[in-house]
Amino acid sequence: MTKQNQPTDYGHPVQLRTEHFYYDNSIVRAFGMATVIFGIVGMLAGLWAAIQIYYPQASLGLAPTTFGRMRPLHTNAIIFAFVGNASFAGIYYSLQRLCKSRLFSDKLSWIHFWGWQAIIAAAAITLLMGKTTGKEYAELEWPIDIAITLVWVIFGINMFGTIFKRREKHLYVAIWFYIATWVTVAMLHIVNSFEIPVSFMKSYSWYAGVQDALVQWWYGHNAVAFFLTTPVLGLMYYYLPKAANRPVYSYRLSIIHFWALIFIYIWAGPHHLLYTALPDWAQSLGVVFSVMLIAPSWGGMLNGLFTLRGAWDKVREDPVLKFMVVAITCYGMATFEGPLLSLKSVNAISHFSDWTIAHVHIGGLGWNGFMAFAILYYMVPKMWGTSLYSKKLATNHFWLGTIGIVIYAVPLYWAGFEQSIMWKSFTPEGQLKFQFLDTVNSIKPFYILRSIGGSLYLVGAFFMVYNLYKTMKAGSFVPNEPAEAMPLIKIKSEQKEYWHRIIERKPATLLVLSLIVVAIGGFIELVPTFLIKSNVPTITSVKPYTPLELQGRDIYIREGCYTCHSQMVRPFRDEVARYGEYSKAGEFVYDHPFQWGSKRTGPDLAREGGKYPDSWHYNHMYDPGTMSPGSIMPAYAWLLENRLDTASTPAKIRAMQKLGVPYADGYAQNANSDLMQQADSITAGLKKDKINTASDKEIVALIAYLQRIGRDIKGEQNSTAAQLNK
Amino acid sequence: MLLKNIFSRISARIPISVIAMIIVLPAVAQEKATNQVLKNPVTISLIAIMITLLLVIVFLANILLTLAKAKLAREKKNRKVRSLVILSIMLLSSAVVFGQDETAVTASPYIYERLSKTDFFIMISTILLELIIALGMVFNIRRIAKEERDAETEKETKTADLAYAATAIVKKESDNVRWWNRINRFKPIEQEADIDLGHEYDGIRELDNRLPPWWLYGFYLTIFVAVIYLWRYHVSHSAPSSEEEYQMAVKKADEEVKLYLAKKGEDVNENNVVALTSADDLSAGKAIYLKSCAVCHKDNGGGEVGPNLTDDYWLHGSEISKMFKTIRYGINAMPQWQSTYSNKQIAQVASYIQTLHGTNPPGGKAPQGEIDNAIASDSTATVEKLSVK
Repeated sequence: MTKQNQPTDYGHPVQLRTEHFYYDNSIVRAFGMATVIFGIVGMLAGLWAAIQIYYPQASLGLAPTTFGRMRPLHTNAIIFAFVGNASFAGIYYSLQRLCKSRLFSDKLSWIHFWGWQAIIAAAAITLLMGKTTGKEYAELEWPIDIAITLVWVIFGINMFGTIFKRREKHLYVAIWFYIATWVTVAMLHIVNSFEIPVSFMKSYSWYAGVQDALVQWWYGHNAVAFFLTTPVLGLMYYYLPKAANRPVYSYRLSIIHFWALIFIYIWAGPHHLLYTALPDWAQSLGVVFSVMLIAPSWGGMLNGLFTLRGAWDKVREDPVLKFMVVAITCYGMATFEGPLLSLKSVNAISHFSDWTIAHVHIGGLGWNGFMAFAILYYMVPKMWGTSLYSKKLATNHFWLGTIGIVIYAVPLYWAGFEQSIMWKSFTPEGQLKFQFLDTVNSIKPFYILRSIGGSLYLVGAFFMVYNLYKTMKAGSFVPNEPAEAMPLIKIKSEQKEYWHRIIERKPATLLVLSLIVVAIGGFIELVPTFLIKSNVPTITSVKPYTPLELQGRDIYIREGCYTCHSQMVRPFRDEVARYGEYSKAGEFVYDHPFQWGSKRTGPDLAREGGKYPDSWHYNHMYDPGTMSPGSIMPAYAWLLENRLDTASTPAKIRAMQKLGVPYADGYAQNANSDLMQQADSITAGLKKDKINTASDKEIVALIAYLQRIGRDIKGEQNSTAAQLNK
Repeated sequence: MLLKNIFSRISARIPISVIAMIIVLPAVAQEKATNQVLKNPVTISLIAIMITLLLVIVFLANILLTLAKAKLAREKKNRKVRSLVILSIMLLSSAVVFGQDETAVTASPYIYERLSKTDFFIMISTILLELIIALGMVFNIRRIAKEERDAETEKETKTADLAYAATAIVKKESDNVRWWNRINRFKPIEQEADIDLGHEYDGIRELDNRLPPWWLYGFYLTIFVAVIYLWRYHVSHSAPSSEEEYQMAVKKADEEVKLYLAKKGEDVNENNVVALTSADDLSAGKAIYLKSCAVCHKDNGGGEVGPNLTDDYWLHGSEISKMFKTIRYGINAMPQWQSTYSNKQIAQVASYIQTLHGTNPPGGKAPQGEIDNAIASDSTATVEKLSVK
């Protein structure tokens, strides 16, 4: 029925024979299974990390399971393993049907599948080992980065191969989103992963300080946009009309919101860096493009929800639609909240607090999680030729998930707001009203509630596993699903087409146009920040790290300290009073990578150097509770035992030299003697405070780094310096 | 169409009435400035309520008039409407009468220190009357609006193919649904076939619905806001940069603190601080000590990470003024506490620390710094004991 009138469409009665072919369901099943497995794994990692925040002993005192390493594991597992696999499953299922063609190459499909799973396994192992670049959502080290690039290219070839051999003249809107996803993620990943390898599994970011921060958040923000949003919007455009059996509400809304979304999204990255040392003009661009992003984002939501016009009675019955409706609503809420959080006045309160975490989880649990569940509930019965084992169980999953999201998010919103307001409170005498620890202790109950919400959501996911398992048992899997369609014959249409219809016929044009549209924003923001010197004013007193400090910094990165501690004092009265002089762009010119952080579960460390004695840090790392009673920081006892790997020092110095850090020529050879000298002076100082430690322990290097952070600029501030020297 | 008309009318008239009110109000206030009645909170709130209600009535009257005129224009034959218009005009005029009444009341020459009973009841009855008028108008507006809408939908459904069935469905729709349909510019589902584009992908069809107007204009608005934002921050510089914002905030806060301290008379500093001896001060000092100092100097002052505070040896001086300064600004590894504790509190904790001298706690840290002879005389024994260890 589908294309029986095609020949006459073009005014040429051509003799055509229906072609018979098979859709590949096996690859969809494989990606679907991986989605479920890694979804559970990722959520468990998240729950574990969440419990550690109020009960640090849950880290078991082991380096691999401590929050600083569990948190990257959780985010990477959810983004790249759970949502990634769900997107691949959903794309491969829908792409074949929208193109009326089997996937381009079974072999490529399976290389894609196993390649991606191998990357996930490698990611899990290396992240727990502490192999990390220290850049959020891009923590994976360079060999894995290269593997990702290769697998992504294979995915691209397979997708475009399928598109080129399609039996459908035009590309449906879902495919536009798939194409934009592919090309933009490729661009983001490659640009952000520029790094110089020091050894196998250790590298330094190509960019430093302010530039690194800008590239990172250009990437980080658009990973959300083009890994968690556009592919899932594409999925919505296929699965929602299919499940509801309703026509898509508005074709022209699809066109406008697609192009506007991908064009505007890319600019909004700097809203993650408001009030930081990033130049003001870049911050402003981040703000205004975030505000303009409301409508394009909502365009997707409206097109989804309005497609359900006339089918709301089905929503009452069908769990698939239930999940989708809440998912799309969460998408709408998160994309409205996002621009609000991008306003400087709101951001001043929300940033670094749990507000951001709550916001992200509306998107993650609501939009991504629920969409993944919906397409699984849709595809599994179809591919196993049966109906869902239990609608009631799926409905229970839906309610558990929904209640879970509410119990997760509401306490965190509250916690974030309350803590931030406490940070900003002053007594009438002009002193900070609360010490940092007071603010942490006041929000602990909310942390507990949050983990309860997360648990409910996880229990719901287990319901789904059982339900899908029973469904699979009841049906029989159809690995190759027969289909038929007329071949696509290139005949020039004589009718005048709507301009966008022409683009929809030309996948290569669509690809190139998408690339141009997404490249503009990044180009305009990144290039001037790199080329124009005034964006990062030089501070002469800022010097490169000593070899011991550099080693200590790498330990700081390895342990994921940046997941809880920022290094960015914003120009606010309370932050200057609490931490010290606000951060300047010129302070970070030797920071490869930057470590500004995005969350203050613990206090900011940008001015940590010289604040406490070495012995304080030593005791604090061994057991934080002794130095800050009530602290929720985990113990890092292994740092007191581990020997520092000094063999890597020369390679690290050489790598830094290549990145333009002005160490003297040949310094790499002498670096270790300087290192030992500095270490000895630290251990000598510790001895005075009744602490005996060898100079070759990791803790010594970390102390050296912590005592250095933020001190260089003090050389220029005479008043502070004078006090220090008195 | 109708709503648009109404809003354009209202937007034209509301400013006029508001301006009128603004002109009238100061006049009233001035007249009353000399007497006490206006200072009475009850009077003020009653007058506020009367004015608000008056505004509401003017607003409603505007809607009613516009509605009625539109209806008249369309159906001149309908007598019922004419009577409604007459009614509404009557109501409106009555409102105006009462509006004048109200001013008359507030301007009434009978002045007492407190609000007189007569005044009070007049005001209350004015408010009641205003309420009745407003309610009556709302009732009429709803009636006319409903008739209008029914007429409109009747016309719409007549043109549609499925006249009878559709009327039944459409009539069932609630006001909310109507409003929703209008604001989104929905086309009735029954007419979907007209906007089907004929696209079809794996059974998915596409409609050619118009963009929801509020969405489109919202988009334009955000673009407009973006331009204004960039203009203000980077062209006209009428909005402060992050750094300017910071300077402003600190300046304002400093002034406030100064004012507060001046009022409170607390201006302790390192130049005039004296050791406090009252039990209250010392126990407050002890509490601060245990919270913030004990982690480094131990509960008993014996020292651990930080130096021993109980012996005769001092790195930065044992006088209250020097100790105050050390705590306030910090030195070397000693953190500053001026942003955490007020000067009074710092004086308290310094005074408390002085009381620890000579307590000679077990496990005290070895002496650091120079001996302070001023206080050493009475505790030579301690030093000897320590050096023996």
